[in-house]
Amino acid sequence: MRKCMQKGEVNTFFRFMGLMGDRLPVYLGAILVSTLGDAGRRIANSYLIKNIVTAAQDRNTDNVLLPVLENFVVFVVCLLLWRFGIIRYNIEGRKGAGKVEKLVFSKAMRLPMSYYENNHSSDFMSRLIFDTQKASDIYTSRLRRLLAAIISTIVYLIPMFYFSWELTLCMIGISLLVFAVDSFFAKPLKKAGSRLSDKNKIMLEKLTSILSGMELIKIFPVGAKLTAEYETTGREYFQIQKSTNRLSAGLESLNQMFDLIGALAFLGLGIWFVSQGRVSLGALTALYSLYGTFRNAFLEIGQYLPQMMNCIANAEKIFAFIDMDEEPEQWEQESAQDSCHDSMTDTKDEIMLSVRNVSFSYDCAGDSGRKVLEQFSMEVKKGSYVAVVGESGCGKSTLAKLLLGFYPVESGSMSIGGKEYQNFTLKGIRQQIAYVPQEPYLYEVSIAQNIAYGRCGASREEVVLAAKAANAHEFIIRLPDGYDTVLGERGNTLSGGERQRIAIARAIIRDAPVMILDEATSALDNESESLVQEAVKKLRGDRTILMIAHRPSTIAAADVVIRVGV
Amino acid sequence: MVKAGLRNGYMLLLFIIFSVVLNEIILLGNDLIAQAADGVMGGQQVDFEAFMTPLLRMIVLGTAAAYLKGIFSNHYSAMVQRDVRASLGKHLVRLPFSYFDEMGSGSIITRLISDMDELGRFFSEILPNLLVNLIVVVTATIYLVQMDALLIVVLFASYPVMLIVADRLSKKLAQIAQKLRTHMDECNKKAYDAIQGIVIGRSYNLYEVQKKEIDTVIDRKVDQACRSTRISSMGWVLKNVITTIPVIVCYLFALYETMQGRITVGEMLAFTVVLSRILYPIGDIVFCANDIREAAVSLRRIQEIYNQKEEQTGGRVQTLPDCSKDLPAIEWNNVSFGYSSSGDHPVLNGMSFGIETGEQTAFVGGSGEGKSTIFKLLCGFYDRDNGQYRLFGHPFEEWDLEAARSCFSEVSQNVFLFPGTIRQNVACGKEYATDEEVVMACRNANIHDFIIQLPDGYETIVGERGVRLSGGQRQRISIARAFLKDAPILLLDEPTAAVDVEAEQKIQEAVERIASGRTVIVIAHRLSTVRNAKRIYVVNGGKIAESGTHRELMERRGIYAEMYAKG
Repeated sequence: MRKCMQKGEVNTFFRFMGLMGDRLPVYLGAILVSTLGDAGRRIANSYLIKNIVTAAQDRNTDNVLLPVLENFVVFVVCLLLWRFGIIRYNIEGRKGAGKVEKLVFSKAMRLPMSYYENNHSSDFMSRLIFDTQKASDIYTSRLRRLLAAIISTIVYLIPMFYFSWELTLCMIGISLLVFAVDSFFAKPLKKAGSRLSDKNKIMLEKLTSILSGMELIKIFPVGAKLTAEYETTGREYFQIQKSTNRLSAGLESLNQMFDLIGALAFLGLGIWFVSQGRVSLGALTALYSLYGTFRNAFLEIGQYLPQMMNCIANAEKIFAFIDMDEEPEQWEQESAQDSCHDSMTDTKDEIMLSVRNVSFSYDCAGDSGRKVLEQFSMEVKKGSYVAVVGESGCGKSTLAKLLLGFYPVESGSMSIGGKEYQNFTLKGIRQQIAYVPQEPYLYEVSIAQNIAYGRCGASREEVVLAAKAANAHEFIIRLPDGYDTVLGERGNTLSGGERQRIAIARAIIRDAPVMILDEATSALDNESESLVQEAVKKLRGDRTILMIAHRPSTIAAADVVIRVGV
Repeated sequence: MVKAGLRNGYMLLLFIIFSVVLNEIILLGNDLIAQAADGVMGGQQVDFEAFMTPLLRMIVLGTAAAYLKGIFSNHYSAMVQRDVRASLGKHLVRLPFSYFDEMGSGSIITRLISDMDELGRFFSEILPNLLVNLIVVVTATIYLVQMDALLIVVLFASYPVMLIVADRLSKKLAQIAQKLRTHMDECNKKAYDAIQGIVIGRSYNLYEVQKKEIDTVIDRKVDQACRSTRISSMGWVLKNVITTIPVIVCYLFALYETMQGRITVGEMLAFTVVLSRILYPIGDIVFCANDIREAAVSLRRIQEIYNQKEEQTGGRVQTLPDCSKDLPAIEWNNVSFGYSSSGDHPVLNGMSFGIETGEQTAFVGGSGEGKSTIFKLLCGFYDRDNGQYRLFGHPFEEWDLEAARSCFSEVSQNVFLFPGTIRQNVACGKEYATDEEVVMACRNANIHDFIIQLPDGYETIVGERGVRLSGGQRQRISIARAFLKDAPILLLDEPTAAVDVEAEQKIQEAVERIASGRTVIVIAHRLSTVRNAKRIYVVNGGKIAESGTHRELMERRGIYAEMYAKG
């Protein structure tokens, strides 16, 4: 089996099996037990037939009943063995599949920020759902099917040789031909599989566009165009399916041909052998009944091998995903610093945030190399309330992202609380900052949970307090389930201002020394804005607040105004 | 869905025909061998050549039949999937907006993906499998009846028991499958949620918390799956025991019939061979019900989407009335609306107002007072619960929805940008927009200069949520779209929030340009921006609390004046 696989695939396969860890021996053992149970029951059946046909041929029924009973007992024992194995196997397989899923999902959360900004998130959906499902099929069905086919093929050969070695050899000859044909088909089928999966991804992206852009579709005449695009991709998918179908039907029919050759020609040959007295009719019938299952098992190798290959292609994609660079613990390490404490030094340093000569550009297609920030410097005193202003697109939001460590700076340096950024882990930096982004995301959990995400282990009282401070309490308790209201996707049933206030409550509960609000009050009306402003002011204490803003009223409330611009 | 299955039914029919052909060939071969066996038993010599020639012919014909059978069944499945996809896409865009609000698109996507997979499996594996099995059993049964009718009676006598057991089991399994799918949905939704909100997740160090949550959901799913194998494997054991007993009885009965001389040894040989051939299909047919039930869960869920009522189309009013200039653009009388179907927590509570054609009207009020809801109702995204709504003099119910919506364009910062180029994103304002028109619209929207300074200009790809474009830029793209659409009514959401002074000027200019000659409805948060509106409605408690010009409202010293003093 392995011979016709490429080396890369073998490696992928072993690596994928390696993910099972300690469970692997139990898993493989369970496959073996269940297979032997299944094969045993079929062999018992063939002996049963042999006994009966021999009796008919000899016209002697005296010694029939006892062997029949014996065979039946063996049969039941084998079945129970099978069940024991299959349950164990399923448990281990499912757990393995769960492990893969955990691995992929957690990986998806650890990529560098640039990945999320450059990739359509249906990319993840496709990868996570389609590829993980297909790859996990290796654990939960594909491998067992293949191994079961191989093991039982071997097991069936033993009684078959015993019944008639000449005929069995003939069958092995036919089977080898089948094998050659199957491996000939394996590669193009695999290729077709990954083409299908690629097309599937595009189809998914189109579908996501339709679903997420629903509001636009309702107002602008794009619905027809988008569905047409979706349909076109669907049709292209269909075309690939069609050529794949021709391949698989070809394979199927060749297998059927060998099946026929086996069944008809072999039986014909068998009768000839019987007429020559080389085989008894009973043995021939038993051999034939076993040959049916042997043939099935053998053809299954041919069937399941390409399927397995397809799944390995999916596993390869998953590994490519898993092997991507993650966001590191910290961007650069100062060699002198052997250990970094994430707590801030408790110096009486007056400067909370310091940015010195920082340059930065997003290096991706589209705006390659355009410097978003060039030689930018600023200093923010502890406890001050700073408004960051500048033209749109000048890098205000980028500044916030750099401060949060979403990207490494190209040149220059930054410090927080008097401690250089490179002495912090990224996690440590983020502990110092409560951030409210421009478009705050609300998770599909309860409002209370959304706020509590701000700080691990926050109590309900603290959540309510924070909501009150953010001027959100009033509207939350008016909702049907109050704080336990589960938000629909992207908090659709709340207005922009309401969502923003929940996000602000989340930032408030974080209780971090620095608070960065990226146009956080922009979607609020005058009244709620002034209330939030008040809340923010009340909260100040020692906190340093960085407010990216446009409104004169926001800017007016600040102690200091910093202008960003190239 | 069923329609797609039937429309392509001729493929299925061809598949059935070739399956029958294949089976008949096999049975013919079997006959040949049984005769030869009897001949051997009777002491005749076998004429090897005369025996092999028909066999070889059968092999060739059988191979051809198998190929065609495979082609037709696979094509059938692919064609049905293609048709379902196509009609589903068309259907989705016609569903009411509220459906997407309620379902959340993440769950719809996973549903569609995995259910389409299952649908594909149903048409490519389950259905052909069932048919092949049926064909094998029926043809073989006919063959056996011709040999000895009693044998068949014995064989099938014990099957009712099996049917009952199988039925019970498969019901149980279907329940489990449904549960498992719900767990899978949950799992995918959770992961999707975490990735959509990655900015928050990252900045609040939520990785561990969210990982734990996702892991818990996965574990729950695995548990569910393990529980289901216990039950299904027991089912298989039962199935095998139940199928084997009648077979043993059959063998013994066949032996008895042979001893009685009612059938020859050759026939008995043929019988055992054919019996072993149909044993598996017979058991499988009964248990196919399992597969079908499992697939039915998916099929039903796709059907559920189909069954969602589409937004009504048609309607008396298909185009804008000629006299529209003289009619009030919009009249609302006592309109009530709440998002929950139970009628609790109404957002709008008996709201009445009128908007004159060609004038600028503004809505102001606290957040959460339902200003955005007014827009959603105006565009017919939701149906109001009570009250009258007239658009250009015609009751809204009489309008064709599409025609009604063609009266509106919306300008807002929260516009959705499709993954694609800027050009495509602007061009969606109008069907068949030419490149010149797109550029013109962008010039008018004051975004052209920004676009051409991008390295790829109009071909710049914007991301899923337009990550790289600021709110102001996105707003201007939405203005450009509105220019292309050229609708009589302009809905302006938060026109000047969150942009800096220079951009604000550019946007203001563009807004003024597009507003001229149109009916403009503004949702405003900055009271300073609505001073010039012909009429201002103050929304409070789901009703219009005050209305008038800026001056009138200031003199009234009511809610508006208070808000203005604070702002």
